[in-house]
Order: sequence, then C-alpha cells, then structure tokens
Amino acid sequence: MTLAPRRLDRGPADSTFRRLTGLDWRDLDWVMIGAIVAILALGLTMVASATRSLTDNPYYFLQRQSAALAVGAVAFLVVLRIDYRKWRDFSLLAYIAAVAMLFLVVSPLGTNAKGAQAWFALPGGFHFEPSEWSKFLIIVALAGYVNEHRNDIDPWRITVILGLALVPIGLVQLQPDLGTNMVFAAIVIGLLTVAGVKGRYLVVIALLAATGIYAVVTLGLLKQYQIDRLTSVLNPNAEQLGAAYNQNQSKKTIGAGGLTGAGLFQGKQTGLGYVPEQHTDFIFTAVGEELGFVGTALLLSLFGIVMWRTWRTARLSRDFFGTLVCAGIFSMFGFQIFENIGMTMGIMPVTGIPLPLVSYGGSSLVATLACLALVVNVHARRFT
Amino acid sequence: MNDGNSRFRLSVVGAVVLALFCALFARMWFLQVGDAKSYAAETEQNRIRTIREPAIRGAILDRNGEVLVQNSLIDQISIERNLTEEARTITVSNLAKVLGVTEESIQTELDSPDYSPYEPVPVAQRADFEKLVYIKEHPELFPGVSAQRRSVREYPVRTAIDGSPPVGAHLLGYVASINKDEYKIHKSEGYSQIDLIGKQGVEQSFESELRGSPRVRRLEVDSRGQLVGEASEIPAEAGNDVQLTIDANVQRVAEDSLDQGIRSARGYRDVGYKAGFRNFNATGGAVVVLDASNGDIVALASAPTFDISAFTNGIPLDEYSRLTGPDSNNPLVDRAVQGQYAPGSTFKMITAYAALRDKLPMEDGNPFDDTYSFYDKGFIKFGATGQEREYQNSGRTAHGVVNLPEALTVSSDVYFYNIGLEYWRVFGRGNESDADLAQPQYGIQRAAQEFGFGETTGSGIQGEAKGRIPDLAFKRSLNGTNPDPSSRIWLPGDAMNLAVGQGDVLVTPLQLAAAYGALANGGTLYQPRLATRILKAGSSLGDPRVVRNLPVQPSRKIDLDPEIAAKIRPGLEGVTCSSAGTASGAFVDYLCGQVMGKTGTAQTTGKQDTALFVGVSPPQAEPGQHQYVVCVVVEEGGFGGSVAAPIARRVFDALNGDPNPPPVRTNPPEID
Repeated sequence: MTLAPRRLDRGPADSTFRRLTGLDWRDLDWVMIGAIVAILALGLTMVASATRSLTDNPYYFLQRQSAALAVGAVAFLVVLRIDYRKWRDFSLLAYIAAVAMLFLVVSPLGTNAKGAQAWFALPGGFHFEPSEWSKFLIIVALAGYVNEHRNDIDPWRITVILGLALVPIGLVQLQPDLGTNMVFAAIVIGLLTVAGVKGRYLVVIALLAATGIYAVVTLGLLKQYQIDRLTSVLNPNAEQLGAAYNQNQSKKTIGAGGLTGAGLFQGKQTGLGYVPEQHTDFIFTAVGEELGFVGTALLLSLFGIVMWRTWRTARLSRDFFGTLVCAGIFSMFGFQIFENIGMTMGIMPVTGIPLPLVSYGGSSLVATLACLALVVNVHARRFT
Repeated sequence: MNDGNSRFRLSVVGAVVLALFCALFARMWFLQVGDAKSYAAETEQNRIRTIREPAIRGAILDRNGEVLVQNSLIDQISIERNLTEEARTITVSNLAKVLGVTEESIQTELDSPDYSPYEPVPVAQRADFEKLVYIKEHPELFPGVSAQRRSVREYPVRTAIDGSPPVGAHLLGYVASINKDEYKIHKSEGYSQIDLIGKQGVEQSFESELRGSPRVRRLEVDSRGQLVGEASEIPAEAGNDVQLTIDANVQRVAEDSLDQGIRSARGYRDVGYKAGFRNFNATGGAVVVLDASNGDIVALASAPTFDISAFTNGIPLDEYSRLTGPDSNNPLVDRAVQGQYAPGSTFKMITAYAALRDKLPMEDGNPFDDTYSFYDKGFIKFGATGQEREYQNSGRTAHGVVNLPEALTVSSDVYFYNIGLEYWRVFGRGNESDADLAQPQYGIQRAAQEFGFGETTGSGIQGEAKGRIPDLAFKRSLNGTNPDPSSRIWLPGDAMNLAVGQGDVLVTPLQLAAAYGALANGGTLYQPRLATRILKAGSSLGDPRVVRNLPVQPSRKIDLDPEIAAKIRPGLEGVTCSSAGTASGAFVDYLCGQVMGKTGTAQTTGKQDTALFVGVSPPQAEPGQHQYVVCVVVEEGGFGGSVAAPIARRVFDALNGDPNPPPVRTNPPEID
C-alpha cells in the first residue's frame, strides 16, 4: 500500500490562517495538535498542583510555566511557518549552532546549578538550557546528513554520523548530563535504523552505546549521586534516605493514587512535598497520586496519540528528510517518555530527563513544542 | 518516504516504542490497581505522626467517698521547638536565672529525646505564681516560652495536719514514667514510651480503670517534619474513679498508731538480751484491719513509710536510692502483704483447732478437749535419755496446771509443745518419713492450710507473699545435702515448734488477719477485697454513677464446727479480759467480750523478737454492724502484749467511732 501524495479538492483555503502560517489549515494534523493541547492543559494543572505548597506564592511556578507556554506557542507557530525543507539546506549550520551552544554553556559563560553546568542565566530569573534545544538541532542536522548520503550508508558514513553525534555528546558529558546523552543515543539509533543501516551494524552500535554508558558510570565521569541514582533501581531498599529514597517515595506515591486518585489538588504526598523534584522530573507522581490509574492511563494515551501521529507523519512525508526528522523526534519522544515515567515507577534508573510537555521547565517545554511543530510542519506539507 | 525497506525500518522503531508503552501500562496497572492499598498505607505512615495525651486519671475514694487520691493542676513551663538559635540562647539564659537552675540543665531537657518533637519541651514543673507572672510580663526576655496546666496526683488525706506524708503510701501506690519492661507488656494497650503508669498498690492494680483513654491526635507533617495540620482526633475519656474498702480515718489512725508504737518500742530495753544492754530496734511493722463479715480491707498500713507525693513528677534519683539503700529499712516494701513473719503464739489458735478437730488422743488415753489439763512447769523436756532437749516458756515462767482456755489466755508454750509432741508421739513413729499431708501426724499443717496459710490470700495486691507452713517435703528440700539422714524426717521438735508458730513457719499480716476473720465469722475465708466499685469520673457520693460493682468473694468455706470454735473463743477472750491475759494491760478499760485476741512474741534467728497481736471484735449484733479483725506486727519490737496490742487497741478505738483516740500506751516488756 502506498499513500500517494495528493491534494484533495477541498475548496478555498482560509486566508487569515494562510497569512499567518503559509499553510492551508485543513492540511494541519488536528488530531496531533488536539492531543498536544490536552497534554499541555493537563501538564499545567499538574504543575500548579505540585508546586502549590513549594513557595509562599502558590501561583509562582504556574505563572512562570504559563509564560514559557506562551513562548512555546510562538515557537510552535514560527517553526510551523518555515518550510521544514529549509532545515535540510541549513543542517550544517544547525549542527554548528548546537555544538557552539553546548560549548559555551560549559565555558565560564554558563551557570552551574544542582551540580551541572547546563544553563545560561537570562534576565528576569529565566534560564536557557541549550541541551534541550540541541536535541532539535541535532535531529535536523543528522537527518540532513543521512538524507544527503541515503544511498551510500556504508561503515564509513556510519562512522562519520557517530563522530558527528559524539561531539555534542562529549560536550554534554562535560556538564555532566547523562540523561540528555541517553536521549541522543536513542535519536541516533532511531535515525540509523530508519536510514537502512544493516542490522548487524545496529547491534554493534547499540553495544558501543551500552559500553559507553558503562564506561561513563565506572570511570568516574559521573558524580557519586548520579551513580547512586542510576543504580538505585537495582536495589531500591538499599538506603531509605539516600538515592533510593526518591524512587521509593515516587513509587509509593503513584501506587497510593489507586484507580481514581486522591483528586486534583488533594494529593497528600504531593501537597506535603514528599517526592523531591515532584514538579520537574517527577511530575508523573503528582498525576499518579491525584488522578490515579485513570489519569495516568489518559496521559499515556495522549502521549500515544502524539507518537502515533508522529509515526504516521514519518510514513506520509513527501521526502526522506521529513521521514528522518519525524523518526528522530519519534525516537527522542518515545525514549524520554519511557525513561521518565519508567523511573518514577521504579523500572528505569533515575536520570534527569523531564517528562515532555508536562514537567515544569521552560527550555524543555519550548524545545519540545518546536520539535512537535516540525512534525506538524512535515505533515502539513506532505502534498507540496 | 518511499522505499519499502525504510517503511519496514520505521515499523520496527514503532513496534519497539509500542512495546515500551505497553510495559509502562502494565507497570502502572500493577502499581495503582494491584498494590494500591499497601502503597496508600505506606504513604500514610510517611506523613502521619500520632500524638497521645493522657486522659485525666481517675480519683481513688475511701469507703465513705472521702478522696484519697485526686488530681491537681500545676503550671508547667515549656519552650517551643523551632526557635532560632538566637532566641533559644536568650530564653535559656533568662529562664535559668528566673528559675534558679543552670543553663545546662535546661539545655539537657531541650535536647532530651524523651519529649515529642512536635510539642513544646517542658523545662520546669510547679512554677511559682510570681515567676509565672514575671515571665508573662516580659515576653521579650523569654521568646518561645509558654506555660501549660498539667494535672498531677494529689493526696488530701495525711497522718497529721501539716507537712506529714499522705496516708496509704503502700496501699495507694504511685504513678511514674513507664519503664522498658512495662512498655513491652502494655504497648498493645496504646501506651507510649513517655506515658505514666501505676507502679504499686491501687494505682497499679486498677491501672486500666484509672487511666481512661488518651486523646489521640494524628498530625500531618510534611517532608521536612513541619506540622501542617491535624488529620483526626479522638477525644480523651477520663479514667474511672475507684472506691476502696479502706476507711480513710481508720487508715490514718492505723498508720499513726503503728508509728507511735514503733517509736515507743524503741525506748524499751530488750530484756531477753543477756550480753549487754540494748533497746528494741523496732525496724518496721504492719497493721491490717479486715472486715470479718465480708473480707473488706479497712486499713492496710506498713512502716516505715515513704512520701508518695514526692513521686508525682518522677522519683528524684537520690530520693530513690535513699529509699532503697541499706539503712532505709526498705520503706518501699509493703509489710502488710509482702512481709513474712513467724506468727509465734498467734498461731496457737490453729494448733488448738487442729487438736480439737482431730480429737488428738492424749497420753491419758482420752481425746483432746478444752478441758484437757497439763502441768506447765515452765518447760518440757524431750529426747533420748541423756540427750534431752528442753523446750521452755518465755522466761521459763511456770503457769501451773492449765486447760485450753487458760493456756491460750496466759500463752503457755509448754501446753502447746505438748500437743505438738502428742501429734508426733501418737501418729508419727510408724511412718515418720511419709510426706503425705493427709497422714494423721500432719494435723496442724492441714488446719493451717484450711485457714489459708501457705498461699496468697487472693487479694490481688501486687507482690503478695505466700508464707510457709513447714512439712516433710519442705524439710527434705531444705536438708537435701545434709549428711544426717534424720534431718530429712519429721521429728518431734518440728511438730513442737510448729505448734507454737515458731521454727520455719512464716505468715503475712494479711493472712493472719484473714484466718482470725474466718474463725470469728464461723468459717468463711474471704479473699480480702480492696475496692467495692468503679465509678464514673467525677461521681459524687450523692450521685454515684456506678460503672461496675466489685462483688465480695468468699474464697473458701472452712468446715468449722461451731462447737470447736466455741471451745477456742473463751481462751482468746481471756487474753484481753482476764487479769492473767497477755493483752489485758492494753485493753484494761475495755469491757469483757468487746475484743478478743491473741498476742504473739516470735523468736527470729539473728533478730530481736517480733511482736504480734491479732484482735477480733464481737460478731454483728444487728445488721449494719461490722466485725473487725485488727492484726498488728512490729518487727524487732519485743512483746506482743506490750507493743502490738496497744497499737491494735488504738485502732479499735477508731473503729468504735473515736476519730482521734488517745495516743498508744505501750507497756514495758513482760512475759508472753
């Protein structure tokens, strides 16, 4: 079965929308956009709930996240406006920009917080986290390179691709941020798979990635607390107040929600701050406690819809570059969701990966929206 | 998107992610639907701290409703937790000055793990009113200081008007912090490690009634341990009041009389001591007053006593070591139920009963009867020719020819030695190594058992002793390794000693009183009772709200032939009435028949003689009258008739309605 790119005759397009986006509104993936809006609404509600007792002003985090959401909406429209194929032509530039950002953030210009050199301080108390944006840029850059050499993906090309990936990975490791690098690894493996790299090479690459993570953990490139967090999943009862504490509390909190949860803003563990980072990386615990299985299943289903539409767009794309971009975003998104939710439920090691669209944090929200805008972009231009 | 390979590859990636999503769903299901309950319980444990505040403890009343123990409110000064370092320093230093203690001592309290981390720390009890006012007027000097009202035990009835300790220290017991062992036992009843618990006497026996149920507050705390709210509260339920059988006035008079008697005994010379000159030590004693008609304990005194009111805030360590030290004469021991004494001549009632019941065949061939006469020449000799041992009266006094009433009245040891000897002579020779108490030669032991000796009375008072009635089994275990085989058979000397309450016989004052009560009331041995009923907190006498009545408990009906009792009684009446009676001096202005009784002067190896007296008032002539037994024991006090009987007499004065009887008039030692 092939889905031939063809435009149905659907009458005249809405002119205002076209002026704003350069697109016919009927070409947009409204199912995906609907799912994204639903996730954002749920996310904002959970941020409000999880932060209601963290500061004297219960709306402090909500206000900041709303501001980030506004920025994200603008970013979404901007990315949607620009034909994704432009990125193909500027993929080298995107790569250089990503590397430059990651370089600058580990230079004295960056800011150190919570043990990682990962932020630029912005005026107004905002922060800019380049590693979130580098995911977008690296996907575009690698998709561009792979697209260019789609017919000669030999071991040499593979080596080049891996080399290209290793530069930002190395810089991120200087922060250090193992979580982001695991996302990079997922992106690379996803892209290479779709690019048609032979199975045995993929196995070798996967083994290399595993070895790399192992080396990073054992060769002292990580701080002890990071290692503790990573290994706490293996023996959760090791130390109640140490690294395992977070994951134990998180698991209990989600479990305590039961089928229907304690109710919005009624979560005791959440309200009393028993789960550290409950508004950022561990926000899924708030969903679990307050909305129960019904809520977590709904959220996961919404993510499922976004994933399904992304995967579908990858298939529908008019060109291979679009397919590759979507595949990269699909891999990134899928890995982040699995790792984040998995760690809150104690089946994955604890690494600092936010839950896309839900966790508190402006850079992650805006960058994720930009990535999803790219998917919608590919979808909307599948006929042209 | 075009070639088939890429589409296949995309499907693979999609399938992988789909599988991961399925894993997440499965995990979610198990966490939230499968194990939700246990996780919910765990998270509740996380954030709920349970705080218990004891309820108001019940009061203890006497038989007439007079309050023996109640609660009073004291002002306690506490310091808030969560003070800044600076505020804490100011408070501690100023408080130390005002209270006149060291800063270190306050700091120690603040750092003590004994107090709840969610409540202010008490640093001073019973704060003076002026100090309290000063602190309240200068809040800037005492940041975080607050005063709470707290209830402590109070004892309104005292032996004298001012400054003297409360009555009934042993009987009432005290309340103090629960210790580790008690906590282990009572944990399931909702005690916490900082709770108070009854330690002795009524406070201990009726702990479950007096305690009530604590106020239980379940507080919610956040992840930093800060209090955020109250999840639930169960209000406290005040403890019930306990109404005792004790008569506060009789108790007061009993303690007072015992104290007077002991003091006066110490002024008398120990005439039995030939090696020099010394007075009686009179180290302690006990008084038991029992209602013979139902077993109610009317008074239970033990000397030396101690001040329970000093224990209300926990016993200071130096006070406790003083009370348990070697020079203290063990004031914490309740001699009325824990003290074990040789009963001496007070035991002759049992011997007389045994011989009458067993119709003991005497040397003249007739069965023993009250008319049986024996020539008391002051001593009796027994033993193989050339190895005779002499058993003598006190002071080797000869009483001449005496029958049973005379022998009891003048307390002829020789008469009763003879009975003991007869038991052995008639029954013992054939099977003197048979330990079965059913054997005829053990008639005195059987009688003692019937009257409750050798086992606890069942009063339920903590630590009650069993006493001891020696028999062959006892001798065998005592002399198990003795090379002399004759030490393991029942010898005539054993029977003779037993007959006069000497040797290895031990009884408690309460047992002795109960036994005489049974003789007096026609043969019912009651379990002595300490409380009559449980009342709702705050009940007044006019409006008693009864939770539960505690019934009279007859423990055993002795098959007491009224004829036998009638044969013993004249001898006991003579003790107080006849001019030859050993207690006649003490009861000189009493009418004949107003009190009967028996004195005892028991020899104790290595100690001075124990003075005993058991007196019994006449049976009820009309309903509402009571028949009382008063048992007095004075350790190392000398002669029963001269020391113990005068104490008992003053108690009888009080029982006869005199609230403030004349002081105890002991008599100089004479012969018993």
